Amino acid sequence: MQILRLHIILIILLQVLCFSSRAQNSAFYHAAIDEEFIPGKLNTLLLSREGFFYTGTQKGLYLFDGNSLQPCATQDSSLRSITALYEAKNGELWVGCSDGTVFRCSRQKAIPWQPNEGLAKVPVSKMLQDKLGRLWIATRGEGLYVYHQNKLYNINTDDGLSDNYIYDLVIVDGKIIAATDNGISICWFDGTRKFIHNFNKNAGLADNIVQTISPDPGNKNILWLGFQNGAVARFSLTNTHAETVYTNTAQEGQVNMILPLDQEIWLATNRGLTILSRNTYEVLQEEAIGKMQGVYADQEANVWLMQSNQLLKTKGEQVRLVLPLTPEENKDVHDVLIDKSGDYWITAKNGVVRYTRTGNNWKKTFYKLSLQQNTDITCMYEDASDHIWIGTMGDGLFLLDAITGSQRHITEVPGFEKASVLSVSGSGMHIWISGLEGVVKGTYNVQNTASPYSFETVTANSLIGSAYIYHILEDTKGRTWFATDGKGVVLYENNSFRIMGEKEGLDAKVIYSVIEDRKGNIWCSALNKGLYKWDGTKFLNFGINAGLTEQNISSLSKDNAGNLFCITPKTIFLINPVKQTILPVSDSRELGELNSDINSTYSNASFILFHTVKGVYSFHYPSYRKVLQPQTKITGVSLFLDKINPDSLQAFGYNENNLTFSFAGFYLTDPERVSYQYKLEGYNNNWQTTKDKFVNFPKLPPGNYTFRVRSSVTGNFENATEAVYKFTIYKPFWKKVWFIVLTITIITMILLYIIREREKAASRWQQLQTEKLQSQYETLKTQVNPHFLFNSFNTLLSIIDDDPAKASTYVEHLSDFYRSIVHMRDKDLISLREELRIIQDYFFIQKTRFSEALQFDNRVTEADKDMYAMPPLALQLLAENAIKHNTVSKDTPLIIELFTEEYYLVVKNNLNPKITPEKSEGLGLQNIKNRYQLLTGKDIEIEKTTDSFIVKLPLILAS
Amino acid sequence: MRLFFFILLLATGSFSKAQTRIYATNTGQIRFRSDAPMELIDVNSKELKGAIDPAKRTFAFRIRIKSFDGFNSRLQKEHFNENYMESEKIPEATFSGKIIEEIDFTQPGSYTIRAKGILNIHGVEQERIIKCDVEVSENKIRIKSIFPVLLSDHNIPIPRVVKEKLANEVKVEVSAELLIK
Repeated sequence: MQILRLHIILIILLQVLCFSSRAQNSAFYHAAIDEEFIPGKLNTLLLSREGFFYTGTQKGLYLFDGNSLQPCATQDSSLRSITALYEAKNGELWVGCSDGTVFRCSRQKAIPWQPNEGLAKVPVSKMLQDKLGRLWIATRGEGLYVYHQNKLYNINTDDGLSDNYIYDLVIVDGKIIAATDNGISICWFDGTRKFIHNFNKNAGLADNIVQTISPDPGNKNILWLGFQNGAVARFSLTNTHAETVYTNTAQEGQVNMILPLDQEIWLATNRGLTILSRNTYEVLQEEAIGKMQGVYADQEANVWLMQSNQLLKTKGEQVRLVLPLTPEENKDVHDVLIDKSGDYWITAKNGVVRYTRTGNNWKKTFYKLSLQQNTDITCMYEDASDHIWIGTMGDGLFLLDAITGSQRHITEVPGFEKASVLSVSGSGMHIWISGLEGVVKGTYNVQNTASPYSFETVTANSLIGSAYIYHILEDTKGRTWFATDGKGVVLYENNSFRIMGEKEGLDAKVIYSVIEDRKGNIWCSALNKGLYKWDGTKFLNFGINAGLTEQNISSLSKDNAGNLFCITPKTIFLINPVKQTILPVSDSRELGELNSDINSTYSNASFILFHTVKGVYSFHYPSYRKVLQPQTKITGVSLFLDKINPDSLQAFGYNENNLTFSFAGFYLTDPERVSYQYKLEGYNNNWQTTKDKFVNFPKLPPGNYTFRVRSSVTGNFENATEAVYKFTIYKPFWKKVWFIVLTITIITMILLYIIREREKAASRWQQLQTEKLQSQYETLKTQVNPHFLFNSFNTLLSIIDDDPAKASTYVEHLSDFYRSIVHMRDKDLISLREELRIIQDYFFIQKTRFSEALQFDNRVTEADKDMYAMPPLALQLLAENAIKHNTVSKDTPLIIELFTEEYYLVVKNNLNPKITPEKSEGLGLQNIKNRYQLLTGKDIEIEKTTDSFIVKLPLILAS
Repeated sequence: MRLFFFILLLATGSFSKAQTRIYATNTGQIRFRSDAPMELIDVNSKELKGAIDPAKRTFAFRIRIKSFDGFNSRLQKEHFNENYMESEKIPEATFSGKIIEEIDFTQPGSYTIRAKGILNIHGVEQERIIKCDVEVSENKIRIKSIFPVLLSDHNIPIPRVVKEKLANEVKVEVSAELLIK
């Protein structure tokens, strides 16, 4: 143990006491939308689940996305002055109007809600649904309405309600609490019994006219009441005790709305805005900017101030100028601090300044340090014993007792009397000091009151590798991290040093700051290289891709809820260690240029403290801030520019292929910053990045599609919310399977039919040919029949001597007959006249033989002979058959008649059969039959009576 | 409005001295003051008519716009009646409603009450809660109130040329003595 020289210098304290009043914070709010763009006047706002505001105006319903008012999709001319809005659990929006009417709005339209019992004719002030699904409607003048099991009940003063004029309504744990002109009424049900308890001025309220109620977000049994006389009370539902926490004697100070937050309570009053501290109820800020109707927080922790003609946007309780400073005071601020008593400290020229707040004024105390030279104060640190350590440039360290104001120059650290101190930090009982002279670790010892710190020089420069150490962190595991200039991050663990560099993934040599997150990961900021995270094995870089748009980080800071921040001269970024996103939360536009001194912020309060050209600011990350990335929503789908309802329509015809999607990412903090990525799966599977809020697909081919869109404020879409719309474009009917199958079947059937017909025709033709050949054969066979020839020659022989002339004729006929057979045999059809000529030849031959025994009676008219046709040699065959089968003699002559009858050519002969029938194959008749069948499709008719044989041949028209 | 006429009917005494005691006046004073940078308009009328029903805690007042006098010039009066108030079309301004505070009007004394009701100026209705000092004595009530009226609330147009001459906020001062009827 080294013996330390103790040297206490008591200095006459130079106390400059002065009181200054707070400067007005002009960047505190700005108009998000003003008079010119508001239809009528603003009446009410409702934060939707999707992150935008429904805006009820005197002229209908609008949607507010942080930028502008757009007519709601549910806009309808019947929507008049809107006084109340409620979003039901199913997403349906209930809209109450000043004339008492109520509308239910879904995505597409507003439907008037008309219960049988009828609604009141006075303005609706509030609508809410309880856990049992009952809808409660508060009215301005007709009491309370409740809609339960399809019945509407009215609860008014007759039922015990304090007054029929209801300003506000809240539901807490099944209790319905109404704010009226005569205090508050608490209603609840016990089974079917209804209870109403009233509380007014007599019960301890500050005023009878209760204009607003707000449930406390942290404690559901606490209600905040705002009164017409300007007072605010905290009402406990447990003991029904009202505690007036704020009164305002100014006229027209009535409280219109109360917004309880983490650390503050915001009041919208007739004078403007009043902000109270949640702990002390003292007024933190007052903005007398005219009647404020409402004050609303969104999911991004912005707070919106509603006046009838404008909507003002603030950062809410996130950003607060806790200590406004003059340019003179600002000059030498290199570090800021808030001590355990809540006083603010800044470094100044030759000393430090402490600011103590008393009401709206500041007490300023200057502690002049006993410096040997004019030098800068670099850093401040409050240790466990409430002493402030002050580091200087070239004049060593000072320790200041904040209570007594005594200070002493630290001389017990060897070599540090004239040291240039870069950083003082600590953890619990340890204190770490880094300077150009090296690193010193101090250990606090409670027992040793005379010299509570024992110091040890941790290392020589050679071990750490750098004389410049910007920051030292002792983490929760007891390890010590050094942010060095030139050697990257150095870890001191188990008495040994480890220089972290490129091997560990850290490609930066100059590290400014090291900090530990909730999960025990170590984050460090590097000169112009952004952030690095050490997860125990390697360093991971976070730069522009992760959303860190600026690389020149001056400080890393952490609040005691474990939220990490990094600060550049222009922006404060929030680091989400779990999702690994980096989101800008505030910037120099509202804060003024930020102090770019290395490690000039203060960590470890419920906020972080930092310094800008305007003074000392705090940034609080509220517990109710839920949204880090915008909420993406598909706001509309259009088909050929006509809006459709995407909930009900998800399928389109082949020609309904021009689709436009509009979408929005609701990020009220900074709508301009939002960019989108979309893809249409089934068309293009790559994400397309755009700033537009719509995309058109003009000629989509048939198919199944999924449209996906997501939005981001950082350009990093990894944890972005996504909206999806699935749809189908059908194929045209001619591309559908059933149609194709049907068509093929029909064509096949037609083809089959044609083929079959052709085959049929071909076979018929074939048959005809066969039959024809058959007939020719038959004919030839008969005619070349030796019998016929023999008969013919016999006949010829008998007449050749008697009548040579006749013989000559006979031979002529015989020859004609044979010529005809040869000539006609190939033809399918010959005219009746030609056939008759053949038969006449034939008869001439036969008649010569049979003389009068054979008679031929041809009664066919001349006209018919040319009009009709017939297969060749059919008649000859029939005649021959007749001769063949009958006895032909003078006693029983064979008479063959030929005539037309209706559609038939009739061949008739009398029947006188031979005693011994001629051997016959019956081929001749069958052949005629077949030929007629093939040619005409008709049958020949054969009649056989006792005395005659008739064959009817269908008449065929000659072509 | 119905209430207003009803009370007025009662007030004018056609019911003579019935069970309810009504306080009424026909000669209340009303003054209004527009303090614009360039011009001060300070006019008044002594024709404020009104009635208070202490039992029901209701009230109604009305004033004929043309009865205001004391303008800086004749032209100013003309402008007031024709351009701003359109008193041919809308001849009266009214205020009727209920009294919030439960005051015992049988007990003489000074009270501060709030009158809540519909203020109709220039045909545009505004719901207002107006603070009022009341002095109750035997058989009469003396009332006194000062309250602001925003011209924009009542759609009273201020041409840009006279913006310097006419303030948006007008101070209205009422004092009246209502006698029992």
